[in-house]
Amino acid sequence: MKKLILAWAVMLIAGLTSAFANKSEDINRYAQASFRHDFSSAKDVVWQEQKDFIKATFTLNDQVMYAYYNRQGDFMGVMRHVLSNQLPLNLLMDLKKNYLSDYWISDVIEMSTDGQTKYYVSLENGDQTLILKSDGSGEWRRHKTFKKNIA
Amino acid sequence: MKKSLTGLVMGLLLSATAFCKAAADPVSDKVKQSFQKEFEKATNITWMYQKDKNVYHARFQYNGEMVEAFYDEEGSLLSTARFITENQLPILVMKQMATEYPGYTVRQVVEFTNESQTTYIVSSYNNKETLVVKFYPDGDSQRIKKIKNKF
Repeated sequence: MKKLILAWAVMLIAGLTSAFANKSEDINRYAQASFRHDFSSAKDVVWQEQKDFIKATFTLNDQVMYAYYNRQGDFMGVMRHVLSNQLPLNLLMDLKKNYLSDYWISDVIEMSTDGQTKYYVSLENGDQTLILKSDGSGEWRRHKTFKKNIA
Repeated sequence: MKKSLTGLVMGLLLSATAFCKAAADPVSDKVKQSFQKEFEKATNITWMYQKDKNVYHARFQYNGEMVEAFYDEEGSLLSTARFITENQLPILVMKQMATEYPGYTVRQVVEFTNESQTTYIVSSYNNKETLVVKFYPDGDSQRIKKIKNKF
C-alpha cells in the first residue's frame, strides 16, 4: 500500500497524474466515514475512486491536500504540495547548501503514511529532473533522476 | 543539552524578552564563521550568550522569517528554532491538534530542529487556559505547560 502511495507521489511531483472525479454517493462509505473523522474541518472535498485506493482532494486551512484510503476505510496516507520554506529548516539548509547552485526547485511534496512524514523535492536544470527524498531527519537522498528529452 | 535548549525555546514562546536579558558576550570567530557558512544570507543578526549553558545564539532574519540558531563554543550548530505559521506544521500534527485539542486557537508555533529531530512547540488557548504542547512530526504530543487565563 505504501508503495502505491509513493508511486502516486512520484507521479504527482512529475506532473503525470490526471483526475476523474466521482459523485460522493458512489464512493465507498467506509472511506468517507474515516475521512470525516480524520479531517473534520475539511472543505471542498472531491472524491476519486481508483482500482487500488480511494482519494479525497480537499482543502484544510486554505491548503489543498490529498488523502488516501483503502476499501475497508483504512487511512493510507495524506499529501500536499508545500513551498520550500515550509520544509523543516534543516532540510531547507541542506537543500540550499548541496543542490541549489546547480538546480532550481520545481515542486515540493509532504507525504505522511504510517505515522511518518516524508518530503519529496523535484529539482530541475537544463538536462534533468532530480527527485530527492527525506524522512525529515536533516538530509536528502536521491530518489529518481529523469533525463530531459531535448529535441 | 537538548533539554536545556527546549527550555530556551519555551522562553521564546512564553516571554519574548527572556533572551534580551542575556548578557552580550563577544562571540568567537569560530562561532561567527560557522554561522556565516550555514546562514549566508541572514540579515539583522543579534548575538546573545547564555553563560549558564555556555551556548551562543544568534537571532536573525532568514528567508523573511525570524530564526534563532544555537552554537556551542566550538562553533558547532546545536539546533535552530524558527517561528512558523500553523499552516507550516506537518499534516499529521495539524490532524492530531484538531483531534486532541479541539476548540483551541493557535497563538504561536516554534519549529525546533537539532541534528536528528524536528519538533514543534505550539502555544494555543481557549477561553479558560493557554497550553504549550510539544508535537513530534508523527503527531505524538507531550503537554509542557498549562496556564489558567487571568480574567
